[in-house]
Amino acid sequence: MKLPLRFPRFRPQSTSVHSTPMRFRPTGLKQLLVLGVLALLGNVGFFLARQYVDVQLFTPRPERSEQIVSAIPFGTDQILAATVGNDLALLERGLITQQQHFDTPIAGMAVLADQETIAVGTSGGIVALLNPQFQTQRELTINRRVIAVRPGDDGGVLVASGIGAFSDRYFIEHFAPDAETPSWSTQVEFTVTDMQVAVDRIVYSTANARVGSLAPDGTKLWTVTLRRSPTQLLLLNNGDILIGDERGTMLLLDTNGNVRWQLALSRVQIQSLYATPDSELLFAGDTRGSVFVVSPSGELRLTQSVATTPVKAFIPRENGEVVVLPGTGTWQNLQPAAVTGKELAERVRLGWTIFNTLLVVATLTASVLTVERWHSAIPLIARRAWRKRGIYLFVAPSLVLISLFSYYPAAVAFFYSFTNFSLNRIFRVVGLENYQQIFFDDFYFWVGFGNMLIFLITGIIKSLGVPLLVAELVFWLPRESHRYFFRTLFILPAVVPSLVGILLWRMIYDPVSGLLNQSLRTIGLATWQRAWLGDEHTALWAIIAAGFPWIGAFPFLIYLGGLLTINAELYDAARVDGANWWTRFWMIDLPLLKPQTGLLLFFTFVGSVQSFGGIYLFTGGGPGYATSVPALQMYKQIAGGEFGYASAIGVILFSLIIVGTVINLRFRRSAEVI
Amino acid sequence: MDIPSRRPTLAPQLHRKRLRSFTPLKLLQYGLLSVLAALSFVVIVMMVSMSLRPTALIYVDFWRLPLPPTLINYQLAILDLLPAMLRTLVITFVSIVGILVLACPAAYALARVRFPGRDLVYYMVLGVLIIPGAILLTPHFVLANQLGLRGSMLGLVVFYIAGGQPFAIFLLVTFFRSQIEELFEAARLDGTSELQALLYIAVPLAWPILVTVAILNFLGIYDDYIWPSLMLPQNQQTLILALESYNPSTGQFTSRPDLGAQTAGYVIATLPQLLLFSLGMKYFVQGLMSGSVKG
Repeated sequence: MKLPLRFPRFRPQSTSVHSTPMRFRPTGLKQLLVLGVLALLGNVGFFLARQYVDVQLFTPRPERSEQIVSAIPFGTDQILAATVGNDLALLERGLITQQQHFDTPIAGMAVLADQETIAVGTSGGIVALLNPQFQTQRELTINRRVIAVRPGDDGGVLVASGIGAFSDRYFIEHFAPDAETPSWSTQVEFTVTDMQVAVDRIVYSTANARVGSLAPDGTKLWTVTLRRSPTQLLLLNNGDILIGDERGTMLLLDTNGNVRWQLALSRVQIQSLYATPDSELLFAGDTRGSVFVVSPSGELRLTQSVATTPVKAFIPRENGEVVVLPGTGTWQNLQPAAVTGKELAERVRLGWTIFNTLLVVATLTASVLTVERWHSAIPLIARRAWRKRGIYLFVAPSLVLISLFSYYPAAVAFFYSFTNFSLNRIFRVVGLENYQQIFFDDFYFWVGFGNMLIFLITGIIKSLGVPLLVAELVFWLPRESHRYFFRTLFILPAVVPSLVGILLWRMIYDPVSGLLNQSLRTIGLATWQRAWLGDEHTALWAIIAAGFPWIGAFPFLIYLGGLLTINAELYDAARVDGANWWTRFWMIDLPLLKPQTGLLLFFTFVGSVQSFGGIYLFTGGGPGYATSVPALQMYKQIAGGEFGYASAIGVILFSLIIVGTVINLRFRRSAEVI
Repeated sequence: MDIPSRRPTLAPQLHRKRLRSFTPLKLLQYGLLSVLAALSFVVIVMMVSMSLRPTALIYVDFWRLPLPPTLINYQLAILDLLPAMLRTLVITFVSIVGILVLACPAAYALARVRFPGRDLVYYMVLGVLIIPGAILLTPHFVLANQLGLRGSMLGLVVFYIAGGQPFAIFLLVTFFRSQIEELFEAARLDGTSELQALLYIAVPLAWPILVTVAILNFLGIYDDYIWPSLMLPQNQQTLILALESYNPSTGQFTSRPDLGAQTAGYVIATLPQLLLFSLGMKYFVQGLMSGSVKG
């Protein structure tokens, strides 16, 4: 077998290359100049292009809303709004022109077919019919909590109402004009969340994720079950049903209830829906104040945050503009016609970023090649590399694996963390949104972070405390054979795979058949028994206590090895000075074991920050949030397909560990100097 | 690698003379050691003891000793867990072999051959050791999806081999560099190729470090829970995954776990590691006590 591999023949290195002073190649300088001009022209070009195409999708209006629960348009430029304080208000240019108080929360409003009568349904079970001056014309007594009120085609009113939080006593009823009793009443299967009415049918959704359709006479046409409960419905002109659900997904159903497409927009509830009259653009507003623009074929086109409170309503105006009403905050004017321009501007911005990135790379390469010495070194290096080409086969497989499975993922994780990357969503760069949410809105993360600190501190005590004690005790045993015996004895438990150990401890904590509760019962402390891992007060500490008496083979051996390297003369000198075991431990062992302690500290730190397998097996992070840690949260996000968010958590943990690594290296370097 | 064979010879000997008579301190030392040793075996004793008793009896009287011992739990557990066990052993074995087969030539080239870019490659290898696993979990999962590796044992193996490279190369480079230069000089004069030098000189002399690398990777791969749980479907579980949800229904205790069979499963899962430890304990202990920290 002959490979083109040979040992290098001895060859005197030419030193002249290294001794010349740094000189620059004129052509290289020229190239740099060209790049500079290109950068200038390109950036000016992109700037002008963006100025040209950029349009304002949203413009703030002078009006504000305060604690609005829902709103509908009334007449040409007025708005009917229900507030948190159970008031019905008529707004004209943001000013309240009329107001009426109700005893119970306003659950539904509608302007009836005559364009004059306002129907207001309350949780108290009343539907009041008002004239435009807010004088009560009639009252319909429903005696159930009203969920939605919609105008009937015949000038009557449709009411969805029911009793109980989760029951089947929910009804959709139709009241003809001037009628006191319903002309028909249809019972639906579960708590109704919304209802919409078109000429030829009625569509409703329920809290158990169903959507159903009724004929105008109240007979049931169909029901379909979705994955999550819809919170908002909207009937499009072509008969399709647009749905927004409790977890931020938008769906489009056809007339018969088949899902055309679905699109995860947000992580929080959809609060409002709107479609342009030609159904060419669909809009959704979520609880956090973001507005999403979606094409009829289910592609997300734009997202913009317009408020900090839920987007409660889209109110169309005569001129084609749409007013966006947040629960509390400034109103915004939305220009549906500007969507295309805005998209173009976003594309220009992306192109701009790519252009500058490429430019930076090109400039760096050109600068390196401009230096005479480096430029002339390239052929030399290439020639030597060619002569040794066989050896690259030795390193290539490892190098490819490392690049593909370590460097590429690490780099791409940073990128993912700035996106909304997920299995069922349109890929979008969201900037710092994930981080913002983690730091300011994610209660789960911070509870986990606190738990992580507790695990870290106790972990340090566990891995530095008992193992050091045992190492000392074993080290000072008078006989070599005894030392060997005990050393083996303390390493032996490590044969149990660590996760099997955790499963065993899970067994020990079992409320019925666990060793711990059995022992308590046997020694007469039955009242102390509890479900150790199921109780949120004890779960965290049960996990920490697991593994008692915490003699890890790894820290034990590290410390024992460290003690063996301590110069025995030191101990003799200490003995001569009359030091007892206590001062010897403090004055000799502890200072000289500093490197070992530093190493264990570092490993414990890294382990506490990023491992979660044990916690996952013990409690899965529960009960509630009681034992969750950020790494476990990340795992759950991955399992749930939320890769962008998971990556952001990963990057935060990564940063923590890198800080720890740098401190560790510093500490070790300074320790070596001493 | 400097392995300190030197023990604190003088100090304990002096100590021994003084302590030949019983002192309270010495009594305390032995007492404490014995108590701690006993405590660390409680879990293991519980496991073995329960595995040798019929589950019904465990529920009747928890504290009884396994007398006479029964092997019925083992019969049940072996039949149930054998596929998962074999699968895990195959995954672990193939991964370790893959790691060594790829890491050896790379480490040899980095340690023994001068070629342009060598330092760059070596720093790239060392750089990976600084990247914490936390940041890699998500992109690994995405990558596995993209490469179509999810749901297969091959997917697991590929990631284990790639993940094991940097540390294996690092340990092997350190070891190869400590090998005697003259051996290779002689081979060079005889016109040996690099591949032959690797196969016939470097590797045969590197057994201790190869065993250490194998043990370390075994512990990591055999004990892994998170990655297989993301990668493998329900019907292809590894041993740890299978054990986690192992609860055979014998019909006698419909709502309660079959403790006997479960603990028997745990004992079975412990056996490969016990075997490995008894064979490679020497290297493992030496490696940890000497190599990890240069005080």
